[in-house]
Amino acid sequence: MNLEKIQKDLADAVAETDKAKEHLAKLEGQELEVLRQMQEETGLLSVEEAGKEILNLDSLLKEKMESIEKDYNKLKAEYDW
Amino acid sequence: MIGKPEIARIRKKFDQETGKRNLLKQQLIGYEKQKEEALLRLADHQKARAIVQIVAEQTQKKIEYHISNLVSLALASVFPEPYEFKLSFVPRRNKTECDLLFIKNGKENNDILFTGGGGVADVASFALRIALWSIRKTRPVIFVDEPTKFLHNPAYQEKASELFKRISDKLGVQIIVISDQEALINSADKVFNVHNKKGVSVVEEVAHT
Repeated sequence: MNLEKIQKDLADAVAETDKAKEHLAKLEGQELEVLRQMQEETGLLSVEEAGKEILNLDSLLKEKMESIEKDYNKLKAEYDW
Repeated sequence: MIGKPEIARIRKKFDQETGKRNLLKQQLIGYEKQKEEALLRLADHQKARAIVQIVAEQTQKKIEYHISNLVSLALASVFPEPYEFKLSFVPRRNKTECDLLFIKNGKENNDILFTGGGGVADVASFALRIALWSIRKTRPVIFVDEPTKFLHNPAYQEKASELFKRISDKLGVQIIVISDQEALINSADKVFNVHNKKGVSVVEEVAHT
């Protein structure tokens, strides 16, 4: 009786592991596809490169926003609206 | 004979490809939704563009009529056999351009500056300024520098002076004219003489009745 239960538990564990492996493989497939699309669209090869690029773009965006705000205030003061 | 590790590798590869396919399916659903929304927006934009086009056409027609009428009237009040003036909006090079047409006896004159003796262009350009002012209604003051320079016939100069005065009175616009023509000077409410004295411009009001 006990042995049967142990066998069943083991079989369940194996099935669960197989399921997890399948899920993991599917996620790996998605990751590979996302990386392929990223490379195709942006030329970036890895998640690390993408992270650096995002930081660069953030800093560039901040600079541009500051420049726009500065010029906007200048125009506002000049034309008094 | 395929071994267990090979089967496991093939299985993993299969699952990875399934994962890729699932992702692409999800993306496809998203893109289809975006496409539907874009098509709806496109339909809205097309409707809006059609409305804007109708309004623009009607506005253009009104402006055409308003300006053509005003300039033709101005020409008729100065010349005994006046040109009819027509404003025509024509699409060219993806832009709307405006042609100024002078018509007499059913014939268009495309070279009014030279063949019309300049006087017609003088009166028409003054009337166009008034028309533009009446549309935009900016400050009620209009400066004109020698507006009848090419109008050599004194009778026409006198009629042009009357026209300026009538427009000024009816529209409540002050017209400041720079001229040395007697007819214009005589019709003015106020006259100022500007002369050069030792290199400095001096402005003096002239006693005027």
